[in-house]
Amino acid sequence: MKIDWSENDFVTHWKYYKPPARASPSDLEFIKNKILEKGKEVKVLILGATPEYRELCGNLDIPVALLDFSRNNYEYLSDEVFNAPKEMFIEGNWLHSKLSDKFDIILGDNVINVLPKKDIPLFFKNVANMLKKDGFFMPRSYIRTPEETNFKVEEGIKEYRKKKHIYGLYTGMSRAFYIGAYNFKDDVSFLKDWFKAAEKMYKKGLINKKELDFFLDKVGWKDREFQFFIPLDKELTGTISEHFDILEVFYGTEPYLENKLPLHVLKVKR
Amino acid sequence: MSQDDWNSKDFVAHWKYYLVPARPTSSELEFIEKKIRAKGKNVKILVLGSTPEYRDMCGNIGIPLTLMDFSRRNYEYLAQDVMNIPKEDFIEGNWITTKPDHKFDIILGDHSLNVISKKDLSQMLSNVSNMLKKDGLFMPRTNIRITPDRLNPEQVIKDYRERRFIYGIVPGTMINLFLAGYNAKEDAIIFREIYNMVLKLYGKKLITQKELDYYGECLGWRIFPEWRMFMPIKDEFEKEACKIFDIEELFWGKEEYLTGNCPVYVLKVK
Repeated sequence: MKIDWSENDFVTHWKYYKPPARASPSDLEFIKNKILEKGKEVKVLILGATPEYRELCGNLDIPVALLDFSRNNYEYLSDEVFNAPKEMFIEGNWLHSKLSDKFDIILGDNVINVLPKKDIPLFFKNVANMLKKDGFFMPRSYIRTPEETNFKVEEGIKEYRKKKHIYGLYTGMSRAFYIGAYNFKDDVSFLKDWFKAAEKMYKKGLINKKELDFFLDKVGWKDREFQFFIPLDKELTGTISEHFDILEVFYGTEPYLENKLPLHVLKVKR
Repeated sequence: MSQDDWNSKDFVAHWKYYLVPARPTSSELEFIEKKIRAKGKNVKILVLGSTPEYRDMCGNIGIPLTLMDFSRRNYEYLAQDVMNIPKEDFIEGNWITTKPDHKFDIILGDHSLNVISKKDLSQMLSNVSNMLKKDGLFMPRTNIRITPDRLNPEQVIKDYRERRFIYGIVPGTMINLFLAGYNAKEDAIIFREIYNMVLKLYGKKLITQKELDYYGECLGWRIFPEWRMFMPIKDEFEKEACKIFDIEELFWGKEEYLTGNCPVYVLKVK
């Protein structure tokens, strides 16, 4: 059974995941400025092995620590990094690992989304312990709005054909499945359910075989038990506020982001 | 020495590495789509080449398409990139001399004026003008130079490290490297010269081995040394174009990584 990023094959699909699954240029620009604010000796930790964040630190010539549960994923994703910074890799778990250093900036791309909802408080608590006194935790996260509870995949595809196709298939259509196939009762979605929804759309003639195959072969959704949590905007703010002060919320300026992927700048409550 | 071009064996297999702005951007596609829709449902469109983005756009808006390319292999190969293929009519032919049976409302060309040699520009413009209906529009998206001045390659990389890396290696460096290595005497970018330029940058440790390999192997600057690309000076190009066409509009894509060197012209036969 294909579960999550711990399955060795998932990382091989990552190259087909485009923004908004990856940080956009305006997101990176924002993060860059936050890092530079902290000065040349800044200590940066990345939760995961995000190539864009590594490339950013390489170009700024700033060393970086990475915490990921899989060395294989870290090494595989290195292929995408053209200008790798000095890296220290820590194999560990974001919920429980205790690091010997503390950091000025902790970055996490979609980290909240790949954890079960119940683990978020523990996750925040552990991350808070990794930060220096004035350190920033900067997670970039998919969120949803209450109005989207009634969203239908069909609407998303219609919007794609009419307008969003200019962004390409993944960027323009993926959210239709994330939200349209979301299990609002359990507040979770599974990649396998996104694929089932894609199959339904194919049977209805709303997407073609090639598009279906993209979701099957390229992004690898079929039969994948990988769960993806997309919190309600207000609920996420509430949970965050129990652990951190929210200093800033940045929304990337690219039109395809549609203000649905905030980048929080958080400081531990003292 | 024979010249490398789109006819060179396997160049088409390298096209996947040519990201925007080598390809039309979202804002440019949006602009082009509006022009197409303005012509009504029965609009007749010709694409010079096999540009996947134009084909996908027409597939999504349900409009059939004619394509003229000198290579059926390239046309078929690039179909892999088209997720929603429109009804297509393919003409194997030459943009400079082929006379299609039909006339068209809109003729699109992505860098089509850049991959011919300067001496053929006038004849190509004349031939294309004969393919247009009376109120038809020729909309070439064309790399141009504003001035003959060359950029400093070291400064191009410095800008990339400081600022433009957020866009990635192709959007962040390619056009500026072309402007740094333009051969004024030959009035062309010659891959051999561009590759030697980046090789020098590598020698000075200004780019990494991985970046050098991307330029040389992925983009093919080492593999296809005799590839040439003509990048006319804006005023000179417009003077030539205006012998046959009126410039109805000039659209500049809105993406921040664009360097102001690739407008979409909207031309109407005088």
